[in-house]
Amino acid sequence: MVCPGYWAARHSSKLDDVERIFSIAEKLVRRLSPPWQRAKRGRRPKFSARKHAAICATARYFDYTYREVEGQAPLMMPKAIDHSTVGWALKRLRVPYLKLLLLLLFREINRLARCGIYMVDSTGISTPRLRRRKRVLKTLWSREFLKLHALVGYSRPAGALAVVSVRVTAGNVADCTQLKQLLEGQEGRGEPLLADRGYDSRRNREIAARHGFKPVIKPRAIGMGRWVNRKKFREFRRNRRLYRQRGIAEAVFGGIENRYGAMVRCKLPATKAASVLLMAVAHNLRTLARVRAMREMEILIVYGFIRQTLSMFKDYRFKHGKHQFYGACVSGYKGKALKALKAVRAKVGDRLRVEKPGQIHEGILMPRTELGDQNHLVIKLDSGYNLGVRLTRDVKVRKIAVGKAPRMGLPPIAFKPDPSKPNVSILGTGGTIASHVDYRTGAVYPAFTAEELYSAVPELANLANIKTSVVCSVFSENMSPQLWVKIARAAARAINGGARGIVIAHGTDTMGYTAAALSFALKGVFRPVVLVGSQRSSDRPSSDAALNLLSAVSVAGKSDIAEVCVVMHGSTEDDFCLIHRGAKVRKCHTSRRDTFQTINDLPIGMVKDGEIIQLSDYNKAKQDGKVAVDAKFEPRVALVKVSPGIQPKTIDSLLRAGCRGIVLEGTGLGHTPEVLFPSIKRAIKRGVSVVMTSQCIWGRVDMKVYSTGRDLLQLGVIPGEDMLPEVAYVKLMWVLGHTRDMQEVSKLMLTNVAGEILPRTRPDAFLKVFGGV
Amino acid sequence: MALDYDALDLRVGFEIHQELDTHKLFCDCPSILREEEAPLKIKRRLRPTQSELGEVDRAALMEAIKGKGFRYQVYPENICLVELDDEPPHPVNKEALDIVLEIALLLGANPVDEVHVMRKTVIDGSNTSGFQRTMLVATGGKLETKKGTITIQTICLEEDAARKVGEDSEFIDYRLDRLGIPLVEIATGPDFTDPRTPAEAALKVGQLIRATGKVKRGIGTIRQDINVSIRDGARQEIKGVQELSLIPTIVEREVKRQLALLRIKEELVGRGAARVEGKAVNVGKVFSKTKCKAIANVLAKRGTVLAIKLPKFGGLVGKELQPGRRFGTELADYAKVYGKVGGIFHTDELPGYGISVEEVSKMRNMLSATADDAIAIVAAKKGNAEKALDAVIARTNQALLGVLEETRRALPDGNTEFMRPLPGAARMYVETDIPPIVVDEKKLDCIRKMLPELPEQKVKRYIDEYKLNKELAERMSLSENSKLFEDLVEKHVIDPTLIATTLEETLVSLKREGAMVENIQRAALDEIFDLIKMGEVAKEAIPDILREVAKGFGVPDVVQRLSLRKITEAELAKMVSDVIQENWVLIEKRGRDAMQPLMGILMEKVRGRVDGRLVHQLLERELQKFEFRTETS
Repeated sequence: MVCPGYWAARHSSKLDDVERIFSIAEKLVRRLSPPWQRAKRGRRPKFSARKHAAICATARYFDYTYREVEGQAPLMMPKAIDHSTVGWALKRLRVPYLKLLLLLLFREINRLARCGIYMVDSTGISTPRLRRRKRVLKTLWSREFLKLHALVGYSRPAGALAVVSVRVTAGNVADCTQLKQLLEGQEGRGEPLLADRGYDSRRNREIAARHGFKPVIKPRAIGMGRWVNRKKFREFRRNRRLYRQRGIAEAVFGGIENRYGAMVRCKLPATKAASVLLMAVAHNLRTLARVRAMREMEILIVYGFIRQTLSMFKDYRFKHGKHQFYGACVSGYKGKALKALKAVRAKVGDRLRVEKPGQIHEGILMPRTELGDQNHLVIKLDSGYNLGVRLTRDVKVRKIAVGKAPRMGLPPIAFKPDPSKPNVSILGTGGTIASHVDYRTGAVYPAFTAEELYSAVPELANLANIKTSVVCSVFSENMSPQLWVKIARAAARAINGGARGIVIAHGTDTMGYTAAALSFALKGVFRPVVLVGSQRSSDRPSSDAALNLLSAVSVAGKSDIAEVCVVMHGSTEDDFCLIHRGAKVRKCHTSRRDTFQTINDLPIGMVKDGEIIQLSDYNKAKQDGKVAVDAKFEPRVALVKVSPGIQPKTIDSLLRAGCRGIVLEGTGLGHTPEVLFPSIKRAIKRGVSVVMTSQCIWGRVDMKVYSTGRDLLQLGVIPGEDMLPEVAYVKLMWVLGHTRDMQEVSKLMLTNVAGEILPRTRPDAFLKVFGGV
Repeated sequence: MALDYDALDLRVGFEIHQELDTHKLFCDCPSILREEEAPLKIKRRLRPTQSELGEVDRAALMEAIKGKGFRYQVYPENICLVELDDEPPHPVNKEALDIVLEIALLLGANPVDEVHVMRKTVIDGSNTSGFQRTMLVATGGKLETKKGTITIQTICLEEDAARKVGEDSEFIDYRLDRLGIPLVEIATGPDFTDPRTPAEAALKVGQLIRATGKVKRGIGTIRQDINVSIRDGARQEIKGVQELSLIPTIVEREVKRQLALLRIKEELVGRGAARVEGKAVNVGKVFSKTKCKAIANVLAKRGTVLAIKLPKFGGLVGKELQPGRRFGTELADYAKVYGKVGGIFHTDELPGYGISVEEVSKMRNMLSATADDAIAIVAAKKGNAEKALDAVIARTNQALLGVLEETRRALPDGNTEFMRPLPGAARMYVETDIPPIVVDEKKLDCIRKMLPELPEQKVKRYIDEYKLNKELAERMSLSENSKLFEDLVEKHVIDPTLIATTLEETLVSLKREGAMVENIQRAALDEIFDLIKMGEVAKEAIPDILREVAKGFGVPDVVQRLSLRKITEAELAKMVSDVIQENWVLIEKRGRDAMQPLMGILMEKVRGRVDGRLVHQLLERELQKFEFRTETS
């Protein structure tokens, strides 16, 4: 194993120090529930079950006999232990518990040094026991053997092998049948799973794939005559180099054999298994100690840091570690094109010469879009145009020059904070509010640090002192209630930390939902909390990002609007932006820049030429205060749009799935077809709150007017007043996060918490007049 | 003075942009240009994208932030959200791509295997999204000319830009009706070596494109740009050449201009001129009582008059580069573009324009300029004047190095004026909203099978099949009505020349007269040719009939009304003998020569109703009889 710092870590880790190992074992054991329940009757035991487990693990680690444990005891704990107690404890440790302990150790190791490859193998464990087989004329005595099947994870940078799961079976059990059990509960993220011929079967490959691993299993040579699966062989040949590393797993077995003799003397099968498991536990303990030492010695830290910064640039794909699984893409190329590129060792950015009969093209190799097929190479000519070349048999590709690595990032402008300007904090959640382009590769990089923002939008320097931080980095369609909590906490931290206002850059798809969530989750908002996004990507010159960002920073820095609001274009002209209340705003058009509109109310105000004009009332900002975060969301809520022909099954399946609340987007004033009544009744009877809103979006729900509505009210449906369906959905999540009592839920849903329910609707708050733009 | 172009190593190339006759390239709006007032106007601003070039883009960004906004005029029937950049572009117009592939195959070019759409950054407002979408469709075509083979470097399909319709102090007005119309761009290499051949080649290419029948016709649908360079000179891109016939003149004058600039440089080197140092001086005091209206107005509005000394340039600024344009005109162009001023004055043309000799000498004193030096003067608002003079200084310094690469505008008289500096390598990156389009062999075969006839082949066919004379054949093959011509010939078995003349000459002359030829439908033409075939109407009657049909009447009515029915031979004979009887005096006097005046009289009488040859025959016969009679009498 080539692993820098291995021996240094090993020596510094005090692997042979009993106290050290015992303390590690103890701390870990504390995280699990005790291996056996404390007896309710009888004498109070001297040591807790957990301690016994730790002692056993340590004992196995050092391969102590029971009496040696007795001797070492004073080092480990203040009290003395009798040797037989150790024996009894060992007998009481059950296999499931040990498996959990093993898994816990593995998780610890994985956290410090991520395992890039997984291997499955088995070895024999001998027992001194003989089995008697009576024959007619003689009695045969044969040695009993056990088989140890192990799933092992390998981390190359740390040179660490961690046992993930173990199964002990009789000696004559076939390997391939054990894979399923070994993989149970494991979730891979595309790592390769190496296994030898013994594991070759179609089912095993499926199982491995299902668990998220990429199986690299040596195919058995036997086939049913003609039906030998050639594809398997071809694929395997490609991954030969990877497969050769399979032997590393044997180190585990070697270690076990060396240190513990790979032998168990126990009688009962359970204790045999437990004994073997303890060996695996001991191995993991050893590895953990060493890896921790490496961590402390900062050998692994640098590696992890690099990976973390790189993962921030999600537009640019990087190879993870040196082991590239062959099937992975070279920036989008796959199949035939990838093969051709690998043949000339070309990477994106290199200069290539492609010769076809009658044409010669020379240019830089470009990345391939996911929408492209596998038959073409894309090169950028010197004139700047890209073209695709089809790889037919008579096409020759040659590499002429190696490309320069692309420079990431703008030369940033240094800026000095101006004490006369307000401090505005910008939190990023994934939408790129500013970006820049590398014309050579066409890649678009997000600009997110304060320096980069000032560089891309210089007018910011006149408005405020900016401080940026990244909360998360997701497309807004992947936003989730857990991330709402994270954003709320970050927002509260920023305001309480002294910012004059905060701006949250967010994707437009679900910005309305997040705005509503923040309106409920942040209590005592005394400064502006502004959400902003852009409809057209910010690398275009025509993007609406700059005006939106400037208006948002104006609102955050200058205005006294102490609410959660959304600031986006107010018309398709680059003229002014509107400030919408967070609990009353909705995205109404797929692509126009003035897509966000306030529903059932006028916007709070508008920003034009840097001036903020008020259009309706709002909470005024205060000098000081403290924002508290009350962000408990119950994610098991569903938003169901009612339509003619809707099946009761829809509601019933939600109930079966464990839904805690349902928001119905009913028709008209808040109605559903009568066929749904029984399901709704059932839901309410089970304690699932049902809230009614309208798919008309505008207007107020009134279920007292028609009999259908009255029936629904009788069933116990909560009318949603003039809330938007999306806002009611978020609010129900928030309310259910606080209480399950249906009366309470109803009361809270009907109370105006953050401006989502208005008592009166203005006549001028509706769609724009026809023909206007 | 015939220049030896070979010695000068003249290289010329051209680019043709032709609008295609199909809906817009990235959406389904119709490609119609509108002239009336637009109901909607939308204001926008554009910001240049930052790239790794750092400083350059930052400067451009500051310019854009301080610069004018854009006001886009929108007709909701023709313009959708895609043009307004409020919706992602739709997939590429397949018809347009097929037309361009057809053109590529006609020119013998190799289509690429996969077409990628690129974005070319343009932030002067003519594209709402801040970039123009363009794609490379084919490379490597060939064009035969008298002087050899010309390579066609690229054939691209791109979207046209919006057209500028006005400008005021805060906004530039663009009309979006033209934005998005598909253009085919055909670019040749710099293979031409003399001024005449480019024009012929451009004509040929234009005819070839029109042979597909799927490109728009009319003024403004085709635009030509030329690139000219000579040894020691620099490449000039000349945009907006409207008339093909002007190309030779433009090239010649451009070469002369570059030669003149080179001579200026030599002269300056000889005089030992150095770069212009020093700042502009405010000479407003000198002109406090000037009679020059331009300067007086500026001073009245509290502008400034700035002047700069151009050392050792005396006499050179007034040197003529092209007929009617001097070096000073070049400087003025730069001042106009960068400083947005009306123009400059310089000492080589002073005293004049109301500026007196004393004022000139006072200025020379102020700037300590001798007779060897020239002075350039600008009068405008302070900021503009400074920018203008900075541009003048930059251009003057450039003159010491020779010719510099520029983009110039072609003027109607064959001269060129400066438009902007030649842009660097195109800022192009890939358009990610549109997936690449595969061009496979099947599609190309389909198109190959349906390739139209080449113009030469068509002319040959008309001459061989329809027996038209060469000139008529050429005109007919290029005309819009060529298909109509072939249909009519097939339907009516009469002389094709007659049909061709009717379509090409008669209709054209009627249009020139002012008749509404649009009203003449295919049906009317059919009726007329039927009548001719049946012998009821003579071919000379066609113009008269068509004139009336253009006014809106039906063919039978017209024939009836003008009694254009053909005269029978008996009637004609009677008419002839009547005429002879009437004019027998003339005949006696003149004898044979009386033929002509008699023909005249007769033709007037029978105008359009009978074949002239028949009249001639009958008249001759009668005359003979008459003579015989007289002789015998």
